[in-house]
Amino acid sequence: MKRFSPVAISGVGCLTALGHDLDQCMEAMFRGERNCGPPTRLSNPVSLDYPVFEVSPDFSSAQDREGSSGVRSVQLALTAVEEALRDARLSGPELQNRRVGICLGATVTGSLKHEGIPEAQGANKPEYLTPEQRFLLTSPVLGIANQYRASGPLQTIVTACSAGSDAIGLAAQWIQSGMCDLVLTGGVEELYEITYNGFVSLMNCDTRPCRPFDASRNGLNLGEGAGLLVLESEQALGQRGGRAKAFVWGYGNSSDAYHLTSPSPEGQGLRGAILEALEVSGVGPERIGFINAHGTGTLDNDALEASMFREIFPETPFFSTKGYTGHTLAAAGGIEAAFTVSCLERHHLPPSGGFSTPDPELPASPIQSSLKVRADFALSQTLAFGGINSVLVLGGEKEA
Amino acid sequence: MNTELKEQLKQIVVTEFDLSDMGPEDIQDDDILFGDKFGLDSIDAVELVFQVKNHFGVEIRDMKEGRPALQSINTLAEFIQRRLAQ
Repeated sequence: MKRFSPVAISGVGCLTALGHDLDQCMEAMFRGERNCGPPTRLSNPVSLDYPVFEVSPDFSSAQDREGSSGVRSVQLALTAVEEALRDARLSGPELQNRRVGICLGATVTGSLKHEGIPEAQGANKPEYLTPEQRFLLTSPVLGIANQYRASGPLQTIVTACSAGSDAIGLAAQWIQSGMCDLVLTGGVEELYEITYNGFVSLMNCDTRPCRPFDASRNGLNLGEGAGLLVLESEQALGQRGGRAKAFVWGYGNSSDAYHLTSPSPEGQGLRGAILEALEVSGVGPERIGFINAHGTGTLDNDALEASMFREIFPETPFFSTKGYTGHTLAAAGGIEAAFTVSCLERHHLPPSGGFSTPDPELPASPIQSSLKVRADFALSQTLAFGGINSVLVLGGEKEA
Repeated sequence: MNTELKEQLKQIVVTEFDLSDMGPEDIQDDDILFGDKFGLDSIDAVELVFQVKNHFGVEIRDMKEGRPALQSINTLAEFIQRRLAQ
């Protein structure tokens, strides 16, 4: 397998129910905040019994900007992009002379948010273009491209809950291939009727705040937000005297080819993705200092992950942040990569959100208290419907 | 145990999941429902939860409750009877 040459992460931005930038999110997480409650923004929820993690309303002035068209996902994405560029010490005009790609994971916008189109077409109404126009405007990738006049390529990845990680893996390859100088990548998600009602109907949601890996876990809570990374080529970074905060060292992806919604219980898909990510990064499992698990809080997901950690990383501390953010679907890979970079920088891991009682049925348990760890490398792992497994190896140092 | 209830459940399984080659008589009381024999999976389990609510007014609230109840016709019948008796 071809070795992955590490790609610099020069800036990070993120917002979730924990806060409106990465530092706010991290600090709230270390304080153990879990800001969830009944959904307030859904027009037609099947039930209000299942708590969600909403981003509080006053998150950014980007809401009023031209590029957002009033679409929440675009607002969330633009807010995170703005932070990531600020963190990278890049101004909007500086992007003009570079080959800037945008590669984002999303499920609701660009794919699900099309209500109104069939009804309008069916009724043969002349105004049927309005919902179509709205549908086109819901693309966060286009919203960002318009705002920053990015030259492209532009791509939205729709591999459900692993889309954010897949977007980062693909974006790194755009840099490696020489196609781009800089890529804005990660994921974005807004709470929405189709996803909320769908997860409730599939009996995947907990009526209490979720408890990943806990003996009492009984499902997930949905969340929303955005997590963005600025990936930059070595040359582009060198030319402007920029600094890498961390590197994407490897990316592994596999399919279970097993079931529409359940992961394969034997874990051959997840194992394959983990081993691929390790192999292409040239980093052995013993050098992975910690793992940011998918950890949704569902019975099956957490059981599968715990058994893989026991098998491949028997001594490595792991945690889930979904007890603090909810499951942000396509944004999860972006948000959790942002958290992972921050943990690498801080040498400090938060306690696994919502975890208090080890499950005797699981062969491994996450960390229950915050932990100081000096790690060179970490894993950020996401699993998706359809049996998609996506694993990123992130690290702080250039020389392996 | 309630034979009539079990027969009714078998009929629901055969009808709802379109088990074309099978009749209710092919389902044994303790057959594993969501395994290889019938080719049913967790999405079908959600459908069965819905049918149990429709036919008997008994709600299976989540999969922690649902998993043990949906093991077989026996476990499902016991679960329904216990709930109806409450």
